[in-house]
Amino acid sequence: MDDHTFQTWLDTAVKGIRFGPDRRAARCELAGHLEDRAADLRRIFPDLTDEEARERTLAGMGDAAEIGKQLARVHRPWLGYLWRASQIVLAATLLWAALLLADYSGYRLWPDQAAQSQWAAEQRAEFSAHRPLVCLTEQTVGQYTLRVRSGELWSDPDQETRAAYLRLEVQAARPWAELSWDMLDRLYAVDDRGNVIPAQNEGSAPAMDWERAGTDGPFRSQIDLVIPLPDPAAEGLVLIYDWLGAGLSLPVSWKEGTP
Amino acid sequence: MRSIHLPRLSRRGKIIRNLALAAAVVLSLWVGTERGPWTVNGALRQLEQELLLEPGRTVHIQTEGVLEHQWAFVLGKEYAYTAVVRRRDLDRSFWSKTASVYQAISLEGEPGLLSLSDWSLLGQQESWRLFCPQGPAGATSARLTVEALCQWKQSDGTRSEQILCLQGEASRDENGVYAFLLQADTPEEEMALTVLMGGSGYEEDEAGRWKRTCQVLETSYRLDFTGPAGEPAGRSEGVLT
Repeated sequence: MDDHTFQTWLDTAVKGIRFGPDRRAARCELAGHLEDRAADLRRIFPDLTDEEARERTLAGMGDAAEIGKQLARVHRPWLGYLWRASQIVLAATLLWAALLLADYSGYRLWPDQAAQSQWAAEQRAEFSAHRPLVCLTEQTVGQYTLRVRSGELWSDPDQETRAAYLRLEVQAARPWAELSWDMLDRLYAVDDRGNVIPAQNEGSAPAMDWERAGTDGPFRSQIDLVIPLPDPAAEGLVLIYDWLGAGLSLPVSWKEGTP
Repeated sequence: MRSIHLPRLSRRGKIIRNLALAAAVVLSLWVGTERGPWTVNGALRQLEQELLLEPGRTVHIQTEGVLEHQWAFVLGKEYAYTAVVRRRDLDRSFWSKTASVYQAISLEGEPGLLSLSDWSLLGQQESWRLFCPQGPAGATSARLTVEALCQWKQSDGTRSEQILCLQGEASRDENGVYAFLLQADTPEEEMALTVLMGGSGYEEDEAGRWKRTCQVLETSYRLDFTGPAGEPAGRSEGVLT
């Protein structure tokens, strides 16, 4: 029996398996099995040629068409098609998720915050005296934690003007859930003398002003706030955001000895 | 170091594993984005979160304009607002903020009026939806009167001013909201309504030439509340911006 007959027998035996990968796997397994049996025969009967050993092996296996029918019954094609479909679904989902995640432009894995934004530095230069403030205060509202990380009291004794500079850190639960700029525009302050420093969006001067200063990883963004102080005797203020009943209130004090 | 041998999965097991993994990825994005990019309600809840507001309840949604923006009226414990959700913005980026507040009022103050508007309106509008989220105690229905001072500019160069009056009635619903639907009865009212809703007050003749333009200079409103027996239950006035 030549190799062509051997291959034809194998093809006939697996022809009924409709799912391609199964058909190839079954053919491969069947070929291995036939080769093993032929090798066994040659070991038992050393006088047998390769061709005779294969012929006897195939004769022992029976009718290829009958074996094919049995194999086709065992290998249900729908399970194979479902498996292939599930692979396609998984691959498409992973690709879609990767494209969506790649589409997000705001990834900030590494800190890029400046000690002070360019804008705040320019404002700072307008004052001759700068006193560091120790003001660690934070509040969690919803999914955000807002904390005053640092600050400075800027003053110009000649012109009797003062301003408070605060570095506000906003920690979000998700990198893409950034705090709304509308919220920052509505942030206002009240000093301990009762003076209201209006919000940016009220358009009245002197109002609070803010600028994004950078990030500290994917979850934390830094905001620079400059708050003009109408009363030089003020020794503290409260940052307030109460639009539509929101409850943010961050007290900051710069009294001597206040930790 | 011992290697971990995972059990070899059957084909059925592999199918379940693949589909479970795909579902987990979709679910992670769904949960991670809090439905913001997927649904109008998700976008509105995300907007409230980013404004540090307590979550509200979407009471009314309607689709308007050529860009099919969704207009929503939302009621919270202490506030009410109208918003526009621009679903088409998702074409640009999955992560873009699609919802923005159009008008908002605190429920602690006097009865106020919120409207729905959009710049993408095409053609003349025949009706306008407005909401009064809270009325005085004892009121069960209300009449809304909107007076718009319109300036007309005709193609022959003439200008004229006209006060258009639109009226609508509404009953207090289970949320305590009065939802008005103002109807325009004349072509002039339709044009004024379109302008009030943020559209263009531009009219062409049959040949496609400019015919006239409507500009609304000032709009005031009055809410007259009545009790169950039709007795007056309060009044509120204001200016629509």
